[in-house]
Amino acid sequence: MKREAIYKSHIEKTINCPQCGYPLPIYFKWTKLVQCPACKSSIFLEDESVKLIGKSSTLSPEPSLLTIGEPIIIENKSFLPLGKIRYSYGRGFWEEWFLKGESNREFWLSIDEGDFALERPLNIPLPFKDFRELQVGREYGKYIVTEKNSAECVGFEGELPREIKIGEVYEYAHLSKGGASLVTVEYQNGNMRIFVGEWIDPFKIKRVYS
Amino acid sequence: MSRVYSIKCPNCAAPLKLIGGGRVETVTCEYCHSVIDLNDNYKILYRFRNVKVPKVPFKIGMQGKIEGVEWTIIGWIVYREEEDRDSKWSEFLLFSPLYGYAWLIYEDGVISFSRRVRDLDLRVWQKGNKRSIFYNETHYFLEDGESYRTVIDFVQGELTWIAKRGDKIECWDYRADSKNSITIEQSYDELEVYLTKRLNAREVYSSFSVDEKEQIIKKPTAIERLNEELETKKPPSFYGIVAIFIFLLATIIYSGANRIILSESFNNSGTAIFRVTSSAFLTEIEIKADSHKALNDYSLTVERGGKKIFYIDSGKVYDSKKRLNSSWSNSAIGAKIYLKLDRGQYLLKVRKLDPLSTSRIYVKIEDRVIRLDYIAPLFVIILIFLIMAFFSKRVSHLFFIAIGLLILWSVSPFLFLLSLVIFWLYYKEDKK
Repeated sequence: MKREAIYKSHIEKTINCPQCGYPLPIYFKWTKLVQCPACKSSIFLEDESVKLIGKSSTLSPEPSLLTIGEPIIIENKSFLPLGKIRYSYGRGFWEEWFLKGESNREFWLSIDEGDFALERPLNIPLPFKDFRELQVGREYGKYIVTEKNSAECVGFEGELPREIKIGEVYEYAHLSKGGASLVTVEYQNGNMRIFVGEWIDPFKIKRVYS
Repeated sequence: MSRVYSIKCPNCAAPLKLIGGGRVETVTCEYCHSVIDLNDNYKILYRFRNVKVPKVPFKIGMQGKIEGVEWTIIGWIVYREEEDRDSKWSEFLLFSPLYGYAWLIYEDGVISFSRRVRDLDLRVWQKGNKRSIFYNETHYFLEDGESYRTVIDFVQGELTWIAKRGDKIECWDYRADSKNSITIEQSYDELEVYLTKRLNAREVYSSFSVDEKEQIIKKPTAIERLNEELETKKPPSFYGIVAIFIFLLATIIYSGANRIILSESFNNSGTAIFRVTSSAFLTEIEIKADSHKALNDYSLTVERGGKKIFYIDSGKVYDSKKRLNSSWSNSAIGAKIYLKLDRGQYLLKVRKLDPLSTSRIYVKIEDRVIRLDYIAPLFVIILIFLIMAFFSKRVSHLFFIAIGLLILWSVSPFLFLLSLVIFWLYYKEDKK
């Protein structure tokens, strides 16, 4: 079957901002949160209803290889950046970009000063039970913990497949089983979210419309 | 990602501009050489004493484009080899808000660009023999057959870790060709892989606006120039090989065009006339007998215009100028002789050496003959070379391997086959 390029993907639905009435096209079927580009209101989407959950601050413009709404290609696969979350780690910050992949799949591209990791949510069995027991440098089954830290969410833009709260701090750990492989485990309030993917070379990211 | 900001050196109050992003951990003051911890209230960690600042064309703060990306030089480290105090080179830490961190390496007029890659499986490397690595469809071979240790000699500006004078790093340098290499670096707590590419020094100087008086460019040696030519474009010799391939292919196709110009049997002395129709090919004289004794009973002479061109019997062989090494063996019952004859009419003289013998020999002469047993291996080697060159980004190694195999073939077909098998086994093992 011929794959349909993501940049030809259609709008799933259009809603109007409950605050200012601005029409908001929604590109991802399971989008939960969207920021109105006109009035910066955060809008929560649940089934067919939309709920205003407040006004979010505008993220300071920073140079990036990605732009919301401008499709990219990574190793012959196309992705459409739809939103981003910015996390702070004190003296700096990094961004998690929500990408819509082919066949309407959810991907996340983490960009942290030259370190790019492309992952997607996947429930895989992990060789540990409690996130809190993880130690950097220790091996758990075939994985080695390469980083464990916490981050504070400082803002978002565009549309996201999950609800986030500004100012919320969550813990995360990076696990590797060699090479470019990467498993990220996010931990918050006793729950773990698992993302599986790999480190990618930023020079391999190509814009569709350069 | 972070913003540009300035601090004052807590030791000498010199203004220090920080431009290197949020990963930067230390800044070393260029005036008093204090190393300041940016994660711990600008605490002075230590000071480099008795510092001699090396003379190099690049300075912290310079900006330029490499690989289409705008980079700023934010830090500088001078390394030396542990075993050789005079072998020093500079590595400048580059920062791009889009692409993060990379290195500009400078050594005696040679400039390279190096950046970290994460998609080489180090666990496989650690378990292997470390002689070579295969990355992005390219083979890299360990230089000098062993690793070496580098020592930090001097630090200035921003760095993403705390570097101290005397810190040691073990390095494995793997080279694909004269421009591209991979270095695996092992420090006390990290194992990292860097992809390095040699750059055109003039272009880098121009991009980073280095003053012409400061520019130092190393003149490449003849071998480096040849390598560069081989790698950057398909060299004239490559097209020469293609031409040879086409010639051999045409020759093989044409080899079916040989023609029998004489076929006779002799049971006594006798003569026969034959005409060679082309001087571009070989003429084959095939002699057959029922027994080796029968063959040894006869001699053959080829003459043209009364002049002896060729003579052979069981003991000696002459051409028109000199005696050749040896004739057929005593146990042979046939022989094939290849002569390069000009176009024209020739006389074949068959003489029975033993008048009492009742034996018989058969003589067949063909012209327009091509010896495929010489051409076919050459053809196969060149075919393999061209196929490999087609699927490979770089042909230089293949080129030299092919030349090596050709030389081996000319020395000994056995050595050639042996080296082909060894090469194949090595290649298979290495690719694993």
